[in-house]
Amino acid sequence: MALLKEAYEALQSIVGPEWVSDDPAVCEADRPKGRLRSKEIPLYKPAGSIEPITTEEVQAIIKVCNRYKISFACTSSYGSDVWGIERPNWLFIDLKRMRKLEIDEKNLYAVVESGIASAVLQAECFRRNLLSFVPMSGGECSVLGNASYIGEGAVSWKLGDRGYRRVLGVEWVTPEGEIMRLGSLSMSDDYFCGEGPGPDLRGLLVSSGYGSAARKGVITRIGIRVFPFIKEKLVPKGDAPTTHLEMPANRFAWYNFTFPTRKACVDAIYEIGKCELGLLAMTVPPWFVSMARARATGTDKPTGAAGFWYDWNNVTGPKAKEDPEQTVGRILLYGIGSDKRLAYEEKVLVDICKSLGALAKKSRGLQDQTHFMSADAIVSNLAGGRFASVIFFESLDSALKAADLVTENTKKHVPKIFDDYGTTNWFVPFEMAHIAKEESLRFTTVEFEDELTQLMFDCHSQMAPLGGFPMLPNAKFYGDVWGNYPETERKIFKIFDPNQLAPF
Amino acid sequence: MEIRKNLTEIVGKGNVSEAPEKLSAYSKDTSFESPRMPKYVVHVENKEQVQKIIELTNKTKVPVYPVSSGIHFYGNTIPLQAGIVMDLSKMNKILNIDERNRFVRMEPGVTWGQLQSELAKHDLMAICPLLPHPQKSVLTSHLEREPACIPKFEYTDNLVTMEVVLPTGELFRTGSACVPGFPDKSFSQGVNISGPGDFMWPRIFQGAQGTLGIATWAQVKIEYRPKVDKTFFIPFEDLNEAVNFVYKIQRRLIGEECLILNSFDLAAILAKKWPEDFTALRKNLAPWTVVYVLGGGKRFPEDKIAYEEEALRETAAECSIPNLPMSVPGMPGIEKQIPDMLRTAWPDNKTFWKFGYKGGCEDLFFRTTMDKTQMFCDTINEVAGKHGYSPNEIGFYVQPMVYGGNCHFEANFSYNPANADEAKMLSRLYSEAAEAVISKGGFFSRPYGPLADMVYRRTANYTAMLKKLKNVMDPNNVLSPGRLCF
Amino acid sequence: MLLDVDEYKRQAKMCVRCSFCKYIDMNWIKSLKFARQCPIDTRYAINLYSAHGLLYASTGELDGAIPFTPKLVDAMYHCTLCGGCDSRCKRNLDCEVLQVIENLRIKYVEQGNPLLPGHKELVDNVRKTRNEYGEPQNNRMNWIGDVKPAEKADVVFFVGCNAAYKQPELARATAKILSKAGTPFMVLKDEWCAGNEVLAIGDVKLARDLAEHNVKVIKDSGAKTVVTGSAECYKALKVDYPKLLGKSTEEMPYVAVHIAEFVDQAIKDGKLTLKKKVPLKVTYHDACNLGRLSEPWQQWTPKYDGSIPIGKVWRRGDRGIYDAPRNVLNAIPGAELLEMERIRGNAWGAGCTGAVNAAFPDFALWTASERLEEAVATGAEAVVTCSADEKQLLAKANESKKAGMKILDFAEVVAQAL
Repeated sequence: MALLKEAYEALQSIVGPEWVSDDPAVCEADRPKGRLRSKEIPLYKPAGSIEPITTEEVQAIIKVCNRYKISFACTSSYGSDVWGIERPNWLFIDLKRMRKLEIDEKNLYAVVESGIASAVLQAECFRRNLLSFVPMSGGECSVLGNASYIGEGAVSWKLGDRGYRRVLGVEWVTPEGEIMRLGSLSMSDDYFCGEGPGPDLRGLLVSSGYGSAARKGVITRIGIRVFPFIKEKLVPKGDAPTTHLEMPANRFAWYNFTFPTRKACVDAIYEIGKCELGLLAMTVPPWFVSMARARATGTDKPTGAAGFWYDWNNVTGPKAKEDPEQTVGRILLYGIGSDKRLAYEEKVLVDICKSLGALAKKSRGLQDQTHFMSADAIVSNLAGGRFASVIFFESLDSALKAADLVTENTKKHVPKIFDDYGTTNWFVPFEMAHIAKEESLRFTTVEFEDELTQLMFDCHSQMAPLGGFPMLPNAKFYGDVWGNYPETERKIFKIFDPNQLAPF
Repeated sequence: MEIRKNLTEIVGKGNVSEAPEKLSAYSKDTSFESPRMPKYVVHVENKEQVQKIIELTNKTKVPVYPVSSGIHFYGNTIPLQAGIVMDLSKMNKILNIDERNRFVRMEPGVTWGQLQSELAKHDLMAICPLLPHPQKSVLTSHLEREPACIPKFEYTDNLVTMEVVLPTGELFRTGSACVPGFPDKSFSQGVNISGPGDFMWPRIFQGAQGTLGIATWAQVKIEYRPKVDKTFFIPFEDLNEAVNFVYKIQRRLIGEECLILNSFDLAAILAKKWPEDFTALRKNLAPWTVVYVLGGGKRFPEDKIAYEEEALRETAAECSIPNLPMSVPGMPGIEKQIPDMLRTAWPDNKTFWKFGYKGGCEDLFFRTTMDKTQMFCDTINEVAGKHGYSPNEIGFYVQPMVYGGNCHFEANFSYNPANADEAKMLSRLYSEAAEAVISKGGFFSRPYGPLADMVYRRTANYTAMLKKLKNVMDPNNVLSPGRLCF
Repeated sequence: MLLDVDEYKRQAKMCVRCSFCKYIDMNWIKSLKFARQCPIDTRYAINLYSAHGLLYASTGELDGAIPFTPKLVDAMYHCTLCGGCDSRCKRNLDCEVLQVIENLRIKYVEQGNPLLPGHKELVDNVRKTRNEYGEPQNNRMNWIGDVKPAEKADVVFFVGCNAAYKQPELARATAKILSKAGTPFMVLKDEWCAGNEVLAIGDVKLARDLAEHNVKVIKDSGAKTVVTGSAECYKALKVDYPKLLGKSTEEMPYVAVHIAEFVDQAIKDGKLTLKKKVPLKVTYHDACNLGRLSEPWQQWTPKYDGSIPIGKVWRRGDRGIYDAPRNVLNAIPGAELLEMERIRGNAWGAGCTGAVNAAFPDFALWTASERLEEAVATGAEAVVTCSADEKQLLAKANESKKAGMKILDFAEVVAQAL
């Protein structure tokens, strides 16, 4: 289908002919493939693509959409392909031209537009002795898009659960084309505070559902918290694929600790959380070891997928198979603010592990390949070309149970889905172990992608009635497991999208 | 009569009152809001009663105003359209202390004193606002987004999941507490704030002043309570210097409680004997004091305090601060009491600290960034002076939030509530000061009473969206009508 | 096509649309201004104008969902084929991004579709006169001046079209270096255009003709080593020719050496000493053809065990020639090397690759201008590059922006220090 001629002309008048197109190739390139979605519901490629550069342009575009009843969806960084649009004749709004960035160093927040990538904000923060947050989905992800969607990352251990913890003032164009300003922005040109006034309407927007893709309109600009950091610099080294950041030894130390069971490791993590140590902490599934080794350079051994499987089949995999319960935890201790803090954290960590019957072992290297800039987000695709995760956000103890359920379900799909011997349940605790993410990474080839979809579906649909809570608590998917929330949600969506043009 | 009968059937005879003295008690509070008499006061004891009353109000269109605390300061519980005041203070159970995940789930009637003393038995604490009134509901504090004294980022956004009776009478649980079988027969432990669906519900209920739902329990984050502390009272002549120090020290991510008080407020807090202690303290205290508490960790607490103290002293040296007093002249031993004081409610056998000077107090508070606090002080002092209110009698409290990223700024105006003229003057002063603050970029994120109109007429789109939301959630407008912009 | 259909399809479908292809390596990002890798994505911001867009379009074209629309042709030929996206993707994924985009162009040409005017002119020139400019073939040796090549030597100096016709001083500088190092060298009597741009356009047939000819004349000369001062020719000799002829680099009858490698080794061997002071703050621009695109070519017949390629040696961009020029610049007395933010495998292309300058000179100039801005930000007085084409385009950008920098070829700078 094509956009109505009058609508297209109106869109051209807003952004200029250079920035709107209905060329089939443009639309094909913009088509979200809806990976890991059920194939029963057809998905459509956009009928046109437009690239605004200001909030006012976005508003004008959405008003045209309302006039001509054109559905729309948007992205900022296009960092994933799991979404899809179920309606034909929709307009793709690409926000990546919106690239303003300002940092208020004193008051610890940045104002970013949609097109600013997380790693870019991090780099600008580093220049100012500040620390930002780069999600595990990759440093190329839009700060704004990610923070208003899920926004969890390695340093969620210290820097808060998910994106909602860091979003301040918000500028938002509703699906009706109203410009909403939330928090302090509602009353002045300042993004420093996100709450209110009164009820906090960020609660409608900043969530962990499919909050991106313009589901509730288009967020164009946000204030986002940044954090104090050390004065010493993290120095990039190496050539891809083995680049890394060198970290100062007086401020950081990597430690591993190994426990005979997942539960024992989780016990340790809880205690570490109570002692408030470190900048990041997590368990390290054996898959990750093979992934890291797959990135080795040179031609003397296999690299890439071949390298991964070489290591998994010959070195790491056999050990994992022999003792699937053994769990390695890893923590980056953080000596900010005092020259003696690192030593204190080390002392406490060693004491905790000792009291629980394990050894805290300091790693030799002081490098970071991926946590600060999230350079390795898609490495999970390496093993077979396709991967998916079954993800839960709840307590660490809840995560243990979720992991077991995923492991059981996986067995039904092996060998189409690669066998991990029940070891790839990855526990990433947040907020000093108040909450955690459990992510079970599953790999397959392009050919068997549907198996992944089925596995995810099985896990989620079993989990909900058991009282588990998934990463994406999509009320539409879970139906009446949670009462009549879908109906409540539908009514609220209608408030700001009466014409139902945003994707739902 | 029919309504009374229905109410009695729901909650029992002893829990329904039409007695004038009872109605009068709920018709007003310490604010300047005009008294409005409710028709009934009802005490509820469980969520089923709450639901039934809400169902009743939807049938009869008689509004309901929920209250949980035993004292109210901002006019947000006054029944603006008569109706039913629903007092939840009897729902005062601490339902669950989850030491492992560090959460507590409690009913709305649980007070700060009650909660903190219970949590202290487990070496835990909820993160407290500044010296809450002993009758203040913990749940309400969280719903009202009261700023905590510990500005660690990790310690904010504490309200995680809730059970709410919606204005339609439906029972609704938020986040991962929504799962079937919660809490006993489910995977979930109610620690995930998001959803169900695509919203973050606690945020919508926070700041709503009881207009969008009635919470019947809430789960909030709690933290390890230090057993060893060291308190500093760092004096400053100038607020800008104090702010500069706080900016720097918070960058090091050390310490627990950190707050800035002027001599009036600090004297009011510390005074044991009135007026002698207060007068002496005002003479001896510097114009501004940064109260900074270093707390020991769960393991090797003295080691933690040692390195944090060293960092504090390094920062003081950078700011040319000659010394870091650990005491207050004339108040021996106060430094040992401060941490416990800041981690619980004001004692219920003492006059509330804000009422010590003249018997009454009106608070003007808003959010800003710390670098603007001096400007706001000057602005408020100027307005006060115009109305004949001595700036010397204004208490100022600056609460840095989230490593000093922004702050809660509070001006406390003491007055004699028995003096009608003084109350009128203060009411005029208050409004003018609020307008001046808004004009200079102060943000009333929690607009109570007259502030609501000042705010909502300036935020047309936000107001319109709120009204639409209210219309969906409370189609009969039975819950706290007249509040905010509703 | 250079990829068989199944392999082409497989590689095109590997894209997971993470958008890493648009940025330099994440760990190396130092600022907002210089974070981006991909010129077309940076300039045009439409997803089609990016690696993932082109891969998705390739899939669409393969599946019959779309034809070669004007926008697709425009996007794929605006791509500079700098290989930045390829290197970024291969950090974490086995995906031949660049080969897919190259193949898309080849397919376009093989289907008989009309070339863009600038490309047609270039191809016609090469076909008729064996150089990109349409200059008389006989004039190719006019650069020689008083340079005295040997009749017979182990080394042959491959001059390249630009140095031969447009910047003969660069050819003479390279020759001077070889002489000073005591290395006798021949020049080819019948050197044809290396064909780097021809292959980039997608005319495999003509590119192969050029390759076969040049390889023959090199072989017939008896030389074992081919030295060139042109990054484009270097890449053609080392990578494109084996690719076109179905061989691996090590199977070619010569070893290709860039003058930067030569000088670096000569210094280490004591054959060259850089004595004269060149007091200059310089920044070095990594030409893509010498950097990430210059890794040896490994001929591989697609063979898989499930999803795992068997026997494939991956070219991920880390084995390019990055250190040699830097070693030399650091060895020049008085010179101070100041690095840009996007260096080595992260280098921003200067707009000379992918035959972009022939078809879209404005865009090529914009690309070069972006690079120049980055050079200016270092505080250097001069930009040094190992590519005659890039020197020319950067000089044009320098003039148009009035940036006031010196734009120098590597050989020129080294010759000054001899």
